[in-house]
Amino acid sequence: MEHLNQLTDDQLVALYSNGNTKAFDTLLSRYQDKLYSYINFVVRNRDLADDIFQDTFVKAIVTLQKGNYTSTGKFGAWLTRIAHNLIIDYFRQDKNENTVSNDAQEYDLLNDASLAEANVEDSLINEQTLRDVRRLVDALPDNQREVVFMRYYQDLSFKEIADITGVSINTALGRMRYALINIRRMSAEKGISLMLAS
Amino acid sequence: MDQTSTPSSFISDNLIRAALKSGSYGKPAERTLDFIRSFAAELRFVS
Repeated sequence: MEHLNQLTDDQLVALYSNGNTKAFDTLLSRYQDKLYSYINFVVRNRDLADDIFQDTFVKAIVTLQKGNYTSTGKFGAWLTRIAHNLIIDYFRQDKNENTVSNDAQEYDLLNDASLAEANVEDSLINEQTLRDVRRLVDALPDNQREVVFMRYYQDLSFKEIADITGVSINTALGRMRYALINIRRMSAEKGISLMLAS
Repeated sequence: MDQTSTPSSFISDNLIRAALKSGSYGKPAERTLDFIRSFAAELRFVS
């Protein structure tokens, strides 16, 4: 296992394709937390996140076994794209069935009293500021939240974000621009400080 | 900086990054991971 951990994603894929299931276990370990975080951040429901996480890997495994995976050196981005498409499919189906969708969830940011909490200690202020920023991000429209998470949590480039979400780079950049505008607007409306105490 | 901006309305990349990275987004359930490992092994066996 120690040896496997030192291999690249593509080397592990090749080993798994040749029957080494430990190589797949290593890939799973390598990406499980990051991928689950992305899915759970977007869908905001742990049970649903587990289902989509499982379906993502099932789809990936089938693709690998059929020899249909084309190596680009970006296995993680490929997994994220599968997950993104499954999330889109889920919410499209959910909407068609007239159930409450993620899009319909309303988060009343401006009436969230905890956002206005005053703190005296710098560390508490910083914790509060970071929490406030997460809530501001959480209040963004879904497509803007997703881009912000991919860029700042997953450290993806705009090219990768565009590829994963199936939009142009300009659209990805535009979503980020509107996300930042919205965060600034919401913070100004609520009087939330976006500065960390030194 | 935009003349209309105020310190409280400015947000840096680093602040957003720090905020998101300090958040907790959970981990996959162990039963889900077990299923995936089994599926990966069984599909290999079948094929």
